[in-house]
Amino acid sequence: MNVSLHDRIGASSSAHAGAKLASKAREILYLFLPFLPTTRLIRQQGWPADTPVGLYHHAQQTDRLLFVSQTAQRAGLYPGLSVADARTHCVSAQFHAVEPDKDRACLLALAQWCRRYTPLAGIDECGLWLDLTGASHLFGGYEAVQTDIITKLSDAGLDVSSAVAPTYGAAWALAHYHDAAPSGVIAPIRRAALSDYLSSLPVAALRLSAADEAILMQTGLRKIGDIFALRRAALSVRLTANFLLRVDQLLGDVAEPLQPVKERQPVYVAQHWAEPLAGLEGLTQMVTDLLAELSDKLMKKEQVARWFEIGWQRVDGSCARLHYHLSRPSNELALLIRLCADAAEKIDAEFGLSCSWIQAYGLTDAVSITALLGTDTQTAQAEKADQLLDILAAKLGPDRVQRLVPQESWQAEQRERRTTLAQAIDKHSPHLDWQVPSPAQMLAPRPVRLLDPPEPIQAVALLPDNPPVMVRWRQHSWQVRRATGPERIGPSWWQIDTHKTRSRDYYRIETNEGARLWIYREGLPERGEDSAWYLHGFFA
Amino acid sequence: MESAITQMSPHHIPQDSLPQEGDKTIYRKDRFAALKHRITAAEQGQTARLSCDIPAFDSALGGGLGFGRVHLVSRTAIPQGKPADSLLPSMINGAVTGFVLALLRKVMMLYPDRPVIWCAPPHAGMTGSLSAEGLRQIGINPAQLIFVHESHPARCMSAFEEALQTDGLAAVVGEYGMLSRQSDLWQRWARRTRRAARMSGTIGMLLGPPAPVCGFETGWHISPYAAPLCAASVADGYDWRPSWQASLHYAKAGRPASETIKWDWVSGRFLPLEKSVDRPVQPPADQLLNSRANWLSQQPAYNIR
Repeated sequence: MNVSLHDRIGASSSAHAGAKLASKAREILYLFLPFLPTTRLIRQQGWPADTPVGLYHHAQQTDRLLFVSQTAQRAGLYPGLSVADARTHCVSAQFHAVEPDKDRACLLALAQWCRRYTPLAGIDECGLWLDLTGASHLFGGYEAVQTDIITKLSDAGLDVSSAVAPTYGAAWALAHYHDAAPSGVIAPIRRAALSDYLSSLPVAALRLSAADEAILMQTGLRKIGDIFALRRAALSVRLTANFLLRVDQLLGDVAEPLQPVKERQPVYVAQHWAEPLAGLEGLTQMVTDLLAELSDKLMKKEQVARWFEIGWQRVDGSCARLHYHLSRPSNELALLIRLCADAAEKIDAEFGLSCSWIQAYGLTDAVSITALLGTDTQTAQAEKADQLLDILAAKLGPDRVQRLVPQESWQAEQRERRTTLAQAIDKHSPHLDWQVPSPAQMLAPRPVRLLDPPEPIQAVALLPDNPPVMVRWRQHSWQVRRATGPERIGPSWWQIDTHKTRSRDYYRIETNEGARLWIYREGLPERGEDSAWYLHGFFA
Repeated sequence: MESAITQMSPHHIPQDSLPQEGDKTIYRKDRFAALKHRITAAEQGQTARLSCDIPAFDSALGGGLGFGRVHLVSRTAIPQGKPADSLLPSMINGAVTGFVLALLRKVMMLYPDRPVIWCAPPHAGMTGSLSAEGLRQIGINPAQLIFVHESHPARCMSAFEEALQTDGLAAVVGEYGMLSRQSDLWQRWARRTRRAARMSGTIGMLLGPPAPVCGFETGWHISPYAAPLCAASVADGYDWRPSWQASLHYAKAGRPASETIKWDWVSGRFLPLEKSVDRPVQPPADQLLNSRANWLSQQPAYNIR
């Protein structure tokens, strides 16, 4: 997904020769996560979600608060307060030293997640930025992306303020200081409108140094609008160069370099052969050795991989590859060997291999220590079930392991679809799950086994619109003891014109032996249509 | 020497071996707890049984169907009089499937978040393939079922065996089809599945045509129960809930039993079927054939909506 997006953007920029893209305003989404450090700490410590928490750092001989949780903010704590004062304000609060490394790791993980929207995503002290230029239309516009991210992050329990603006500076300022930022702000794109929009924000929104801010406060310049009204020359005398730079960056007069997070590079192990390698034993040994090396490398990096590529180059220079997927990322050697058990047989060495390699993709950080120790029985068992599915998929082929997913339709044969497990996992969303059937659904009988396609039968009914008293299927006759119905299922309105499907009257019948069948009559006798009978399924 | 022995006595616990805050022993304690849990689970796995709700079966099986065992559920053999190519097998296969699904529902109620593996040929021919709506009416969430569709019977059954070795599954079901015709392969495979099921403690169920039951834990013959036509049964309120003539014809550590049962999807239980002792009436089909006027008077026989 990310790769294709990247390719697409690369292709469009080369095709349009730059000029067109340059004229288009940039779309930068900034996400401000003010409570992320405290939320992280609360979750890691297992405290109740509404615990008042303050994170402090030691500066100028005192511990001063840097971040406060939402409940702590309501209790009257604010960043900059000393911890001693804070303790008197809020007795029940927890105080903890700030851990910038862990917060940064958390933000980086979020930025990696945001790469689903755009290849250019990055972090700063307490927020994320996404350059949506040229990528937002794939998701229905930057408004849609913004709404989607806000929904997903608030579902995850994170409070986020966000803003879309043509420059990074403006997006930052709006997300931090605009009143409507928690529900998402969208700044105007035109420069004149933008400067009007920004003028009501406080000067702190310019990302100034403390000295510059103090000077502005002394001179009574409190709003950004006050600065816009002044001449540049007058400002440059009193204030540092950084101040003017920030003002220019705010309106986009000076470009601001941004460093996006990088995609994790796949882990790669390779072996070159002096003599051409051939023969099943040699190949098996080669795969095992490579996997052992790869697993070792992943263990050292504390990472787990989602899928693997075994590649080889033959002596004539031709290359081929095999792919193996895991539904739960792993770096365990025993599992990898079991997964790739048939790889050696699948390798067509011809005259021998000159080189072979394995790459691990879809890397994520390794699982928690409780899962490693096997103390979490449920996780361990679920992991084993997932490993089984991977092995079955590797053995029989990925399309052989399937799941039933629901489809919106009234026709019995179209109400469900079998998809491969990989698709079902990748697109895992609530609409793929089966809801508990409603009482009305329970009243409409459905068989446990369906024939696809339905088998034509002959039926003897006393009247054209009656249930049959006798059915004949492939030269065998069955007397009908009991019947109930009909249940009429019509074709969808867009199928009516094609005349391929007609209305069906379904009956549930019981034969003399007790077998219960689901049969239907296609074509409505009251409309004078020709009717035909079909057997569609077997009841329990 | 004596002091060394007293130090080694089991009652003496050195202080430093007790779990302490922030120490690795905490993890060790967790590990022990988990191992204990696993051991009890393993012990229970040997004795845990799935009750069939029917006293006749439960007493014949010594408490119910054993976990960690493979149970063979097949349809009743074709009666002598019927031609060999009769379609009866596929007609009553729905009943066999229904019985297996009912058992499956009972297992899934015990393990609500574990998946079930169902190994079957991709295109089941005239027996049809499982339908999600039908599963839901038995009371099973189709999302919990994972299908392994392999047309080669030997490969399909090796997938069954592989799945049976794995713990963390609720149950494994296999449709063996014609594999049982090859008797040597069948026997060997029965032994292997038995060992696989013991290893994991997962319950295995096989369904298909009548097959040699030697080597499996239990053997069942299922046929749909045809209630005799009587006034109550042809009236509007006919009970369409699945009902079967279930016969436990082989139990390794038990005795055979037979009972007519029905399945109640609301409670998820088998119920013994009360045989109606009402006066039998003439089959409506015959009457209807006599005259149309007669048919009109018999109309309530059909529950026409």
